Amino acid sequence: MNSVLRAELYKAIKSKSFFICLAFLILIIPLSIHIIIESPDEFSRGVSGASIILDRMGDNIPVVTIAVFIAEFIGMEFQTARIKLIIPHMNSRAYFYISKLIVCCIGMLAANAISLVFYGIVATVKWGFDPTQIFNFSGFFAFCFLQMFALCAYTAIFVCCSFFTESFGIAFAVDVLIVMFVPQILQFLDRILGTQSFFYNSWPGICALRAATYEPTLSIICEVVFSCIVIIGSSTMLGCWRLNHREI
Amino acid sequence: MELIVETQNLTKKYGIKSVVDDVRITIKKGQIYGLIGTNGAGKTTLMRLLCGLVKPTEGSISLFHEQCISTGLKKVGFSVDFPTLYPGLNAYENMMAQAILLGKDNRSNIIKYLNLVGLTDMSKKVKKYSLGMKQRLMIALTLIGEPEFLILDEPMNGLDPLGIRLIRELLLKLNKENKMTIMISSHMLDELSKISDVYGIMESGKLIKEITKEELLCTRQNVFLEVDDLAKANDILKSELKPSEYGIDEKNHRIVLNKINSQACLNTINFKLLEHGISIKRIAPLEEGIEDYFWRIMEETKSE
Repeated sequence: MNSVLRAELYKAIKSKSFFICLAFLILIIPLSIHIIIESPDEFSRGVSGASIILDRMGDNIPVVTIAVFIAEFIGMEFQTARIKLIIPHMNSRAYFYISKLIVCCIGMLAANAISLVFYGIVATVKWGFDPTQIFNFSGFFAFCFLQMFALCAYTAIFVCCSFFTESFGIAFAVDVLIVMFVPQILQFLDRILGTQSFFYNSWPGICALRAATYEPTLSIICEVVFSCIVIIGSSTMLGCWRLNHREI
Repeated sequence: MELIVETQNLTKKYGIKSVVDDVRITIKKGQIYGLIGTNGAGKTTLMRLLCGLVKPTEGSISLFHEQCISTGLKKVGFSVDFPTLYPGLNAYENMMAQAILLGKDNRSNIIKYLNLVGLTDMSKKVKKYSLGMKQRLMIALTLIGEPEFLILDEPMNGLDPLGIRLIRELLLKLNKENKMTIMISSHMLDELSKISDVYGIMESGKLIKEITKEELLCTRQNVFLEVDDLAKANDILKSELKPSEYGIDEKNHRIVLNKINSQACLNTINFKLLEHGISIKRIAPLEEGIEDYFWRIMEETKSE
């Protein structure tokens, strides 16, 4: 497991797509800041370095951008058939799947953390870090902890899709459709079942939005953590099952 | 001799079609096993079964006496598909990714294997490689884990004559010096005959024949006779044999007798020719290479 994880990390570091996605996320920062500046209620919203970190949560652009990397990182194993050289050396195919998941999670978290830091710096230069004094360290750590779960849940879904589709293009298309339409489907499901936004609130994107605060309540923390663990666990089991039953 | 591979009633079905059908194969340590068959005969599927890439429908595989195939596969290097390389990485990086996976990430080792297959330009991206270079890199990749048993599916495809010779000599060297056991499939039967100790012939998923190099030498059934008067000899044989039982090789000035499987039969022909005053300069078995043998077996299988 250790060696396969190291091999996957090596490939991720050598992967151009990760750095292209990261560069894209950093390059769109000035554009995003410009849009905020141009908006008429810039000052009434109390924009600052600390607030912009929260505002970015629930934004699909970073998630979809890293979905490109995930789809390419996993799709290439199937498209080059390199998986045939890897799988037979594993005691369990699940090791390979979990290694891919861990590396993709690291990629997702690293890219989001780096772009968040850049956002914070640019916004702080423009408006100051925390003129309205909303920032506190314990809240920030809780925020990071919850966002980490939400981003890992998204990653787990994307990884599962990639192992099912086995193709970069199809996996990315499915990822985009999932990010765009699954929240609406869950909302619809809640209405039909009368479950009062239970399913909708469990979606990683909504979890990220709910946790975008420096003062998360205990119920939000528990709900977000539980929902994300269920998504990560179920999609990982599904993906492992698929890989185990797949004849390569 | 120690058995490296042993399969019992190995069968792989897709739907109702048996792609590998009741195959029993044994490969001993140090052997080079040449797998021959037409396209779709089941060679690649058999190799994929041995690599654990597909699961058998029936039967069992034992690798290095291990019934658990994943344990045995640790000592196996394989290439069972078109070169499985990352196009965006160079040769060294491709090797390193595999070496880390196998816990053999030693720079000098990687360079040693790349040099062994004749790849010295390590900075070039694999997407810029020719097919032959990709094949060489693929073979280097299979060696990085220092395997005891190599499974190679069509490793000489796309190689130029120099590359073919290099790979042939490399395989022979690995077999001789490292006592490496090799299973190799190829449509280049002439090349295969230069390295293989044992041949397995597959057709429609079945292993229809297994023969060693020595046995192949003994199965030569065709005999040629060099005579002084070819036209006269032809007239005599017309009355004695069916047209399918002999042929005239005008170029070499000889008569080829097909499937002469008894000395008595040969004696009769010999006597008849002498009786008509034809002098026989030489009688000898006709060399039958693996290609002729393969086609003869295929024809016999079809007629059955």
